[in-house]
Amino acid sequence: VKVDVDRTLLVMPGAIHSVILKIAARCNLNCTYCYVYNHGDTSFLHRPKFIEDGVYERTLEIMAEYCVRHDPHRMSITFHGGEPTLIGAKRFDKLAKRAGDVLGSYLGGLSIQTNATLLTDAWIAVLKNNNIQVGISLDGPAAINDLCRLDRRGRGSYQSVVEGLDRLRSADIEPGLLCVINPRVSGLEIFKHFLDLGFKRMNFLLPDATHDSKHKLYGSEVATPVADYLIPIFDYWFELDDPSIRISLFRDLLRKLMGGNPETDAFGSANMGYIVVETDGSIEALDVLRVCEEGMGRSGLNVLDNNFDDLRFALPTVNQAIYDGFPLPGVCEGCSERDICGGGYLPHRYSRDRQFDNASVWCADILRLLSHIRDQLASRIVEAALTPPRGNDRSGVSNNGKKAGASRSEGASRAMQVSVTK
Amino acid sequence: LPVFEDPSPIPDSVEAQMNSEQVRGIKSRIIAAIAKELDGTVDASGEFSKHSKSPDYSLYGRRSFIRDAPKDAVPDPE
Repeated sequence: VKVDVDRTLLVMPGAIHSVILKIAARCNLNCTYCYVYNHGDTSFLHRPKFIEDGVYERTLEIMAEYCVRHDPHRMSITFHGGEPTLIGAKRFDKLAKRAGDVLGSYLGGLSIQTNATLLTDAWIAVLKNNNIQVGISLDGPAAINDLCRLDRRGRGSYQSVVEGLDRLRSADIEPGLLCVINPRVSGLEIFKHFLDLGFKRMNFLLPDATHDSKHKLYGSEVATPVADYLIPIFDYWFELDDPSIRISLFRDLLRKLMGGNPETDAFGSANMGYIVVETDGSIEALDVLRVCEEGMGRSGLNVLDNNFDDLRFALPTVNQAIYDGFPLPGVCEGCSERDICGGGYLPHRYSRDRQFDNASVWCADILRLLSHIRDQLASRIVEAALTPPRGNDRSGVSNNGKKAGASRSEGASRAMQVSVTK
Repeated sequence: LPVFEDPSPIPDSVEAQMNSEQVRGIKSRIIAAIAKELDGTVDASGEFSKHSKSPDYSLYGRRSFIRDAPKDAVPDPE
């Protein structure tokens, strides 16, 4: 790919690292909480059911152009929907191979987010042969998952998902897991079930709602239902202390609390680093924004007419989401957790009256969870500081963990001599 | 975004991390693993002192993550 580069136009070089590519605009499931189909947005009705070849080819071309302009730069593709496997294994195989052909070394990786109910042996072979990372969606054991994740006839999807999981594993494909929090059930029961199923990498998504819809969707009888769900999971996970079991939500909070950056967009108002391309080629900032209002995430741009650097000149909401990040809500300015939470997930800040100038609808939950995680972190640090080196006795350390008769600097010095227990 | 992303590679050897100078003293393998990913140094004060892999370091700066811990229970860093 040859591109004339005018770097003076590159206000934020290489800001986009990932394309979420909607290859199917329909789904075989009808999950009650789905942000695509069941939050009032009807844009899916006006889009092709599956991505058109011209749209796909042009998407790859402008990805390659973008990488060349911002060289060195790589981009990844996540195949998404709807349910992306509806497109069929044979066509998907062509799409995946074509991505490698066009992008070459600029391709950061390919992944698919699927409900895993349609994973036939043909699909498994295609996923394996093209080295596709797989993320699947499941909300817990059958009795919980099948409350919300239903097919078009109202039947639960759990059994089909587990069968798909077995097929993936038979080919040594270990998927990541996405679980949407159901604030009315036990989070710990769900987490234990996921461990029983052998999952190592997972994330829990806060339920999508805005200030206009939260009360209707989730009521207000319980003060912090999401924190009630998550804290027992955190405690169990933290006590388990197995770093190979990765929960993105907790890892993000820990990373931020420890001074680093998060790996997902669940918290904070930094720029997003990805864009969404719909089946008709239209470019969106974040498709979950459609829970706010119809068309909220639209950029007004299309891959057939534009490239990704044109997004700098897109509608203000999209431009801000991708490049600048949204400013902190005014109400969060005085909050002690503002650097960590960043106002929460962008769609959850929305109200018709004040747009995104609100705290997250899950603010109380986030604050309670953060406070709990801080306490747990602090206890480990204090424990480390007050633990004598191996081979020493524990004289000078009282039963309540507070060190007596020594300066605080001595405590710190001693802690640094202690090896971590394996 | 409703996508499962896992950009950080899973460490080959947790044990190797546990021997790291960067994380000794902290009896949590989860904290140790994240500390290693962040390429930072956790000391007994709960502070990170290095963020070489963090492009937005200037946005966050050096800060304590045990802000709310009782001050008399936390040793000063040496």
